Amino acid sequence: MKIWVLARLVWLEIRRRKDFYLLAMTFALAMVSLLFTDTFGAEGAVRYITDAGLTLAWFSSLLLVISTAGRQLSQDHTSGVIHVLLSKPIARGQYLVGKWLGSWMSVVAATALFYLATWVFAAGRGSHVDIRTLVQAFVLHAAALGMVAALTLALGTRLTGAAARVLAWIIVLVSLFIVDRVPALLSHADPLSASALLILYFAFPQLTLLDLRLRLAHEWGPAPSGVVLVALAYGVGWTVLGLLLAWLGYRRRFFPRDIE
Amino acid sequence: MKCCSTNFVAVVAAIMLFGAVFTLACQISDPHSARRAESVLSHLFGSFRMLIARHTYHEADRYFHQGIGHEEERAFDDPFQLLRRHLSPVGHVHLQGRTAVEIMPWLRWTLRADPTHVEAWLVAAYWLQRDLHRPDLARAVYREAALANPHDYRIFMEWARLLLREGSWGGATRLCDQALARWPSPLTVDDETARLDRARLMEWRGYLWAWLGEREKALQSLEIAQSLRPQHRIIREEIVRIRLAQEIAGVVGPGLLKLRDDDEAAHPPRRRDDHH
Repeated sequence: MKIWVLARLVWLEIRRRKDFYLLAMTFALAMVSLLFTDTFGAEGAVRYITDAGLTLAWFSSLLLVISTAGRQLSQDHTSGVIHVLLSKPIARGQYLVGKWLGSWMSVVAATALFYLATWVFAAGRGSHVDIRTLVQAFVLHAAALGMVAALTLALGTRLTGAAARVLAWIIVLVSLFIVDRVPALLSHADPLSASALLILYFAFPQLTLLDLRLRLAHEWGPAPSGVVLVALAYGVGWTVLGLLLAWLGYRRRFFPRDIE
Repeated sequence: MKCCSTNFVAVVAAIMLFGAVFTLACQISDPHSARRAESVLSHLFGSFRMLIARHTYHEADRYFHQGIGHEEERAFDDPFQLLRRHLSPVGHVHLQGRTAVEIMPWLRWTLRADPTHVEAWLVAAYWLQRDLHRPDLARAVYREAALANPHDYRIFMEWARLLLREGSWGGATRLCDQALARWPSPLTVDDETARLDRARLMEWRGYLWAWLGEREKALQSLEIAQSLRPQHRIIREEIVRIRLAQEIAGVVGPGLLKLRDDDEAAHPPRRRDDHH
């Protein structure tokens, strides 16, 4: 119950802010301009609409989740709200889970709207987006957002809000653009670089495992359910690990009144 | 809290501004624009535009392979890669027929970022004429490509090939001449592709001279083509036909017929790193 109240506070805060509305407008503008892409006069190209819509949904949701989760703790510390909260009968673990749940839920709700808008734009151009694949893609996307929210929150327990957000972005970008290329990069790496790449490969989250954009855009149909469940379990595992790290970093943290 | 929101708005606004300026740079440095040389923005964004063009062309290739990238040699296998193989499509498939239109947005973006990317122009025109059956659009692409790259013989050559397939002998003649006038730019005389292209152009020009009734010029062209491609059977046959025939003006010989009827006469330009 206490967790739910905290999550609801985060949800209300996000509804008050302009971040989502700004991103939604940018998203809509980008999608509308994509609809007018000149394809040398040939008609019928639709896959790029789905692909671009989902790519924008990923980018926007990551922007929102890192910004939201990254500021939750620091703004409570700065404003002194943490002292009020911790004087109530609420455990620090509950406080962290409440913050995570609020950040995650609000961003997942925003992402659902981005997915819906993508589907509408693509369907409007005559694309037959497979609903089962769309649901799979959304569920795994939500799992990825849970991972990122938990990791950003964990970083926020020991760093300032800005530092936590920057570090979270570095982790996310490396995970998205480098980690899954490591097995190929290793073929041409010297022993020292190979060791560094291997550490990167196994220490960083494999975010691309949870990205079904190409499967959806190129109409390959739904992935096997068992495999999706394994990927989902991987995402949940990282989320639990992130929350555990956050709790370990926070459970004995001292908050002097003159901090920041 | 307000400060954080302001920062967020500033970041998004900066990204949007960057996009707007980049688009503006593409417009200002349009090859048809007289201001091209003096455009500061085009210089500022030059390298970035090349990167964008490279990425979008790569994406066009990925789209052609139905979202599957090129297979890379991997140093090891592990459960993550196994899972990824089950989640992401794998294999070697191509877009066929009408679905080839899916690569067009990526090719258009490539050419917006880099109008000198001749390979992208040629690929776009090839798929428009072959799988999409829109030679009218392909001709428009060649026209646009020629305006953007007036010194590149390859565009005029492929344009001529299209007209030969359509049986527009007069137009093809003019384009063959334009291509030969520009050859080997931008390649070098020693380039293998350029040499083969010259042989093809001389061959086509020879057939077209014959159609015009210019026996000597036709034989001269075809003999050059034969010296460059000695194993080419039709060139040999055409030389014999032109030497022996009473009347050649207006006669569509087997060389031109083959160019008009043979689907395999046209082929997409291959990426230098494409091993498929």
